[in-house]
Amino acid sequence: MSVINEATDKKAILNKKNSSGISPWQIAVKKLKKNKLAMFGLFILGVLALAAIFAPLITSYDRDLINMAKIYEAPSFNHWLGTDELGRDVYTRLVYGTRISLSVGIVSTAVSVIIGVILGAVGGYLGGIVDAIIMRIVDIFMCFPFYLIAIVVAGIFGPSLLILMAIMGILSWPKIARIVRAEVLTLKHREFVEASRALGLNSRKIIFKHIIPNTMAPIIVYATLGIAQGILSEAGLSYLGLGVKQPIPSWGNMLSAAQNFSVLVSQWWLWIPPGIMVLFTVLSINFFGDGLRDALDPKIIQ
Amino acid sequence: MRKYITKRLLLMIPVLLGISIVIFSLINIAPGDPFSSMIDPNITASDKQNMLESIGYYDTLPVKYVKWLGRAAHGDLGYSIRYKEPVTDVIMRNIGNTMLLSLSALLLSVLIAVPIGVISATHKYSLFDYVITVFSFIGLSIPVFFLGMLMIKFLAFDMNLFPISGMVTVGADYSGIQKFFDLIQHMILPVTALGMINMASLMRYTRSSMLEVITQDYIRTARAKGLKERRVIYKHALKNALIPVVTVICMSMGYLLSGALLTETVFSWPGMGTLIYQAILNRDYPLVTSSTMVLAMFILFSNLLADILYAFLDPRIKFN
Repeated sequence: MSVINEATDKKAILNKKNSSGISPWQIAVKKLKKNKLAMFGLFILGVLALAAIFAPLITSYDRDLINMAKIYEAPSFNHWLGTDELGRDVYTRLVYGTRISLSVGIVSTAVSVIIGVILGAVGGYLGGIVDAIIMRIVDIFMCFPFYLIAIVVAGIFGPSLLILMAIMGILSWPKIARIVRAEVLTLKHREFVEASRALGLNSRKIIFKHIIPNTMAPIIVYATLGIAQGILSEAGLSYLGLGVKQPIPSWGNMLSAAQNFSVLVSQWWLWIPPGIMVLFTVLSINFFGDGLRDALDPKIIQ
Repeated sequence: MRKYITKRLLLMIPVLLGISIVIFSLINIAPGDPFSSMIDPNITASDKQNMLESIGYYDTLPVKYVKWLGRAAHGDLGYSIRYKEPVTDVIMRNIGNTMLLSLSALLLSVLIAVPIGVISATHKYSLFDYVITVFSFIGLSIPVFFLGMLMIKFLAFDMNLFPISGMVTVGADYSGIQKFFDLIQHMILPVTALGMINMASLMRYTRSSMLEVITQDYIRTARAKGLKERRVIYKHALKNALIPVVTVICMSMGYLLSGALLTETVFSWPGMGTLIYQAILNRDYPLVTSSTMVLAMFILFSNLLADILYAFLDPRIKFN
């Protein structure tokens, strides 16, 4: 019975799409395409993603190749961005660092979105004592000073890529949980939810099949901006020597070279390029995320 | 109102307990014996064991926690392994510096961001608005320590305009007004770096809040009854637009305290951030636990203050 209903429902939706011409998602894409800053951001991100994927093709040195005969060499034709304290090619490490920094941002955001969406939706939908407990946990996590806890945990377990991603994910889910919960609270009294309840679906199915897909817009916006935050946090923690461990290059741990004062003032090629990369990447994501928010928010009419 | 505040204060108790449990257990599952550097290497293993036993080193985690909580409730935050003095004293020496840094940064960012946000909103889509928007995006995207490093290299080292780090000139024995100016000179770079980051988000909040308010009916009414534009904007609109901004300002206190951590490290500012970072590197766990707790409490209180102020300033919020 319900299978038939779902099928006809889908048909009805499809028909509606065809009759009115464009779906809300298509409107959003259209709006987004008009936003120059957002498209600029997307373009830069595309270039970075390609650089990360094809890193071996666009570099000519080995990532970890140590050459003690050529340490702290200034940028030249052979080494576009010079060499570091072990004679490694900075440009090569910067390109490979893109891989690490982007994946730390993406994975940690994925962790926080998964935890946040599930807890937020469950709390908002079930309400009562479950909601109260989840919201208290959210309150507790919300007032953890992020860097502080991250530094404490990283300091205790030692620097590692996996731990870094886990910490960042676990510490930043409360925001998305709050957003999703607020959405769910307004959604749960809507007719389609009542209808699915009347059809006898259990809470799990209603939450995952019917409610969460309807909260997608704010989740997408949050996730985009979350990746930017993730890249910034990685840079901060790795700068303090508590994030990604050498010899794996990340923008953050390349920046940490400047903890050494003489590097800071005289070997600018070691730390300014990775800093600029962080700035440009995060800037592009923010431009794109902001455009997404405008495009997905039906209240904003252009 | 009083009921609302009481309720919020009561809700803080489980939150504080939760925070303390997480921090305490995290630090206590850390490997290694942090006391080993404190103990005279010449004493026998059994004496060492007795000593460790007497301070409760072998207690189970819940017992340790309850003991720690009991002492903390009496203001005894433990004994710093590195500084060889009570943690409370060490924290007291540093917390003022962090407060000075983050409050000055907050003040600087509010003084600059709010007027710029208002002008940006009233001159929407003008060149000024465009420049400011791009600038605030950059502010949101630049890592605070990278900004600090750029400042140290170019402004402090290359141009020699400001002192490079620290809080006072080492070796100089200033007093009175000279000491004050010396401090101000040391403060300029870290306060600007930290303030810039906060400025960016505050500016965007002010702008969007102002934009929302100036489309309201009562603003049209104010204009319709012939008020001057200046009066409409600064009296009628700004007053209402500032309500959410005040909340953001209070909330950013927590963010600033966290951001101060990296800023302090870059500029070797002797505050809580430098203290905790050093404490972690030195495995001074009692100090780490307590200072993290203290900072978390500050953040919690500033968030609470934000909520209460918001409810107080906006009568449309219902207290329930």
